[in-house]
Amino acid sequence: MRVSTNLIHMQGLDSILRQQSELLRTQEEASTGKRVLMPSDDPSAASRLVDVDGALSQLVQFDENIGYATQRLSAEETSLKSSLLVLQRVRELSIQAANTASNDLQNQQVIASEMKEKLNELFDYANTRDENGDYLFSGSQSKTQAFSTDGIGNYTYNGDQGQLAMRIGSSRNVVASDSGADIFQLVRTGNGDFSVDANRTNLGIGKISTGSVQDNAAFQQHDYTLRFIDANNFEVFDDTAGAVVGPTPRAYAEGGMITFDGIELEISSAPAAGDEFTVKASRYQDVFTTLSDLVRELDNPGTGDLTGNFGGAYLANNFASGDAIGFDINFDGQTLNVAATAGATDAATATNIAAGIVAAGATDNGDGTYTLNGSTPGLSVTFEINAATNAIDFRTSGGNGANTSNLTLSNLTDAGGGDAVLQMSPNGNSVLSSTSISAAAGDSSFFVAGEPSATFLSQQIDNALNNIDRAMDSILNVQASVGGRMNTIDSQLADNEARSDNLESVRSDIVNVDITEAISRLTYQTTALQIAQQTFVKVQGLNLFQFL
Amino acid sequence: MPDLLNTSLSGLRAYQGALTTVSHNIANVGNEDYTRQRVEIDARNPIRLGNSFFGQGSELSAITRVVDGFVSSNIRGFTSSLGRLEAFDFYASRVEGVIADEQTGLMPALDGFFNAMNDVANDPSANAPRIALIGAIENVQQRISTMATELENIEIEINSRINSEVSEINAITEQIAEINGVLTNYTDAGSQPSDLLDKRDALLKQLSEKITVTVVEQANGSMNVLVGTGQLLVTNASALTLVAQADERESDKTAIAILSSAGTVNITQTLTGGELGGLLDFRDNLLDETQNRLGRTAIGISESVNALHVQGSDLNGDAGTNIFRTVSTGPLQGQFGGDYLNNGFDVGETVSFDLQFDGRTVSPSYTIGAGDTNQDIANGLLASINTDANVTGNVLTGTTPGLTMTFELYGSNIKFESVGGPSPVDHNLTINNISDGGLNDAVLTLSSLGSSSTRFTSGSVTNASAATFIGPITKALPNLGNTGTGVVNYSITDATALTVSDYEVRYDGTNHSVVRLSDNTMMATGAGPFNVDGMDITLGGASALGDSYFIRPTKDGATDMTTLITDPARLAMATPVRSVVNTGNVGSAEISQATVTDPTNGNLTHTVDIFFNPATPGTFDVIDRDTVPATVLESKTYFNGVTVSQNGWQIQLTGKPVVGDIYTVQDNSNAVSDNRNALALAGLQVEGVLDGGNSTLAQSYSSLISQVGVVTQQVKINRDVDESLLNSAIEKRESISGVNLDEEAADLIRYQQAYQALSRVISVSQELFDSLIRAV
Repeated sequence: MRVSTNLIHMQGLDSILRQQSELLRTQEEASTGKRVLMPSDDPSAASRLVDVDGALSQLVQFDENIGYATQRLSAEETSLKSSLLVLQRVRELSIQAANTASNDLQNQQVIASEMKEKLNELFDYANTRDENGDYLFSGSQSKTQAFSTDGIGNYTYNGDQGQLAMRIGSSRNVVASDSGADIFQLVRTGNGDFSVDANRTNLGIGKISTGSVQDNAAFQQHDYTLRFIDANNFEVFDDTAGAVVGPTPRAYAEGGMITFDGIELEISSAPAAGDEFTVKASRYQDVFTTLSDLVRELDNPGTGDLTGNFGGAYLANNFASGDAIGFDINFDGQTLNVAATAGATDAATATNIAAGIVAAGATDNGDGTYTLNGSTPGLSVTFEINAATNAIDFRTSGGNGANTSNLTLSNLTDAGGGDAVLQMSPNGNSVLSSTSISAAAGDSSFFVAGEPSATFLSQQIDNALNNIDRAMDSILNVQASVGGRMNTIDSQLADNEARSDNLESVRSDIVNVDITEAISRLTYQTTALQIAQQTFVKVQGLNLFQFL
Repeated sequence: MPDLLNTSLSGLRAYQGALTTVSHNIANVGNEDYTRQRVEIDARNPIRLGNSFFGQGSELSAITRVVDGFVSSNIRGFTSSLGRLEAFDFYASRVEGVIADEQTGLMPALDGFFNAMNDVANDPSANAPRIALIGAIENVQQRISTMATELENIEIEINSRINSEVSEINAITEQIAEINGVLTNYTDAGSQPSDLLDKRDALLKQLSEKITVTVVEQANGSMNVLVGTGQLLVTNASALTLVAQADERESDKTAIAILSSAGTVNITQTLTGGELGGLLDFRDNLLDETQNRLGRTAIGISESVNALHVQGSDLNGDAGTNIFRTVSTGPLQGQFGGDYLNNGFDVGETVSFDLQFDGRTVSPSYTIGAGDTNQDIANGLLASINTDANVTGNVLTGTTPGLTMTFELYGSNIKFESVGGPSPVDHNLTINNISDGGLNDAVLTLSSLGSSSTRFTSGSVTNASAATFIGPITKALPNLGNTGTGVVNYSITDATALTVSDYEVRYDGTNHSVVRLSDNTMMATGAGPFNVDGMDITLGGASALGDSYFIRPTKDGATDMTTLITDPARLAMATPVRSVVNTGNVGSAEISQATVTDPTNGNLTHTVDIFFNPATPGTFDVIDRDTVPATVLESKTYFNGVTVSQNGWQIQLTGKPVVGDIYTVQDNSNAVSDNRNALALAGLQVEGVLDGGNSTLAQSYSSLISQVGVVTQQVKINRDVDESLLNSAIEKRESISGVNLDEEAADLIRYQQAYQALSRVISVSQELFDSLIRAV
């Protein structure tokens, strides 16, 4: 073929340029280590690369999330573990208290004081804060203190039931927090189905067992009262339905199973006539209330409401009809200066005294009862005429339950003969300093809360143990769940790592250049370029004109 | 009698010419467009003397161009094709660089956004991750905007290059016409000036670099040039002018028309090849598609993120508002109000203002009473709106038939939403003339809600300043040739159904029909309105036969994207309601966390009790405690797993409740560590939100990358192929028409020898003459 001088030149140059551009490309690949520099180099690889990079970036984030979740769960676990230890110790203390002689008040108080410490410790664990100062156990309201107390035994949960979930895998969330409500607050009482108790004023030494639900279908979650008609017979009254349950009366036999509405329990020892036991469907009670109640029972056995009466057989005690009678009632810093006129009958005198109590400042509740509020908020005493005896019954209530305030009667005056005597008698576990006061002697007497019976205290400890067990169950459940979640995290971490390795290798296959191949290509192309350049010069030199 | 001297002289003249031609060839050895010339030397006619014919020497009969017309046309063809591919490749590579860069592409920003969202979910009450998330949100928007701006710059550059290409083409065709004019003077084939022909060939080649042309040689020696489907650009000595003008269909694009005595005719669609063809091809295929896809991704991001964000509540306990705004449309929607009592609404003042919408003015007023809460003021204002003659049951009827605006309480704000009308576009809501009868210091706060596209001119209205909520600008582009008065509007109703295609609404005199241009499918026809591929299309005015309207729904999605939230505390990472178990419950039933189904429900955060009423065992009452009096929303029979949906939320109850039990759904106030909404937002990363739920945001973007990659790769491959085809055509041409110096050197020697020999003959004839003289 005929070639033109231009063509020789063009082809030589083209070949050099082509070699140079190929060399440049190889150099770029070798220096970046990448095969795909632009999508057009390999469109499907480029688009896969976007997916792979996205997935890798997600995995890095998941691992970061896992770090957060682990940190939170570990912090939670530490608090839970410590809380369990506290409850374990409280449990031991309770058993110790149960074994302590009931009259060994000093020993009980030592136990109570350690228990109080433990209660505070538990309270602090429930209010654990993380490194940001956020409360761990107040649900979603982490800036709010989880639990607070008014100092007299009432505990409040201020958070909510929110939980913090974190994404640890492309289709997996892990819950990284538990609310104080689920751990400490929403704890069922008793055995989880129902709780039992004995009436504080029981005279017998009967104790009611924890019991259990034997027949779920028949179990109604109702509240019941078991009343002893006499020492050998009792009835079961359904307070919720307002009806007696089953055969009545039921014969009591010590150690015999009592069954009703799917519930099975027993009453041990010897209940007395009039004794009452309650069976209530389980409710939520926070662990702090449980402990605080127990501490109170142990620390200050003289607890509970004061009950008793005064007056009664007035005529027999020199309340001569028409006499102006006066006396003072002192209660929790408040004084009633009662003034009344003795009537012709005991009933009339009782009515007059009741009116005197109201006139002296008690509130007429409109239903035949009169209430005097003490100085302590919530603490009050309520009076009522006992229609059978004409005595004035009273009962204190409220306060923190530790009604250490006494009810004192004093300054009895009798404008008649000055010989009136006011009879007094305590009910329940209240005790009296003297059974009467007289106008002549000008003495006084006070009612004071007595120690609960050993049986009652033992019942309270049993009940508290049940509640503590439920609280420990609750914490153990959460702890188990936290452990499970930690396992989930571990397995997800392994999954993520495997996926990440896999993706990295896919990524490398997609994008990375085979460096050995690239270097040898570079060498080859360098040589080719040199040859092209040399050839160009050689060929250009060949010209006929040189010989002219 | 033949004459030795004359014979020699004729030869000398011929070879002198031959040598001149050789030197002309050598002189043009560096001229690429040069066609080598050859001399033809013939013997002169002999003279008859007696029976013999005596030769008269030689003469230079012709100087010819060594040329193959077929090869020239091949070269022109490949030049056009290569010109197209090179122009396409040049811009495609730039687009590739814009969207696919590892650092500046969208993916790192999108991944960063989701990672930041996860970080907030991990520690929702902390401020630092929230600040980082705000940064990540802005980064997503900035990446998208930057890419959109780059693409727009390319678009502008293309349009201006089309302009310059057109003027270059005009310059070339004029020169061709001029040369045609000269050449017609030398009608005799073979006697045409060779170098002028070369010049014309060169011009034709230059022209084919710009555009594919068809060349027809005329008997008179001129070349006619045709483009497209046979439009004559050069006829003999006259050339028609091309003009760049706005496209009739898409007026923001430059189109090419041919200017003739009959007027201008748009020939854009018929033009192929060359740089101009490459530019058009790139613009109408790759660039449009890339812009549409990027826009759709931006709309997808905005809509999906907003939809979840408005379901949440922020650190202040307020409902989430939109994070992004983009073209994606919907009704005119927003809210006004705010914390009245801290915004100058003082007790005793009568506050009034004007609401202007679609030709109506509603002037609510309210006198602030002692002890009024923000809620009381909102109630009072809404009640006052309802006293207007055009408002019935919270609905304001506009002057445009079918166009209404609904007002509703939203917390202590009043929210509004426009409905219907043939063109909700351009219908804005202006709030002005606020006065409070006191210090005139009352301020109304405005914010957007729901739809991503309602904008407002100012975030607040005061005595001195008004503000306007501006509805989505969604007018379809009318064809410049439309003769009717029709107006076509569209709004995006469902981002997941959006395609990346463009659409045209055409009127045939009876019906409007919507045509999807990517596959030329008629999607709907009739009197309208239409719902096509996630868009509502409404018709207004009167179209004339043949009118058409162009819709490019997704293109501006990326350019128009902005962020609306800068305050980290305004990130709504929590769910606005929580469910609570009453601690006094005897039963052990559980309540699920509340999920939000309707974030715009005005009663969403009311306290609602689920009460197992002892009066009706087995059923429960759902009681809204925040209405006066409390409202029983429903009474339901209980079964394990029953769901309750009220006030825009939903919960599920499981387990065994007991009569008297209460479960409560309430405002999730104070829940600074609630991350449920953040988790939902983080979950978007793997959720299909485009292509009918089949594509995640990342997939939508990676398909864009692969789309651009495939096209660019194809172009590069074809360019390489064409380059070698062109080279081989040039080789062919060079081998035929190119100058070979060695050949010329040989000719030079040959002609020189002939010349020297003839000179010798002359000297011989001199000697002959001399010897004759001497003999005389």
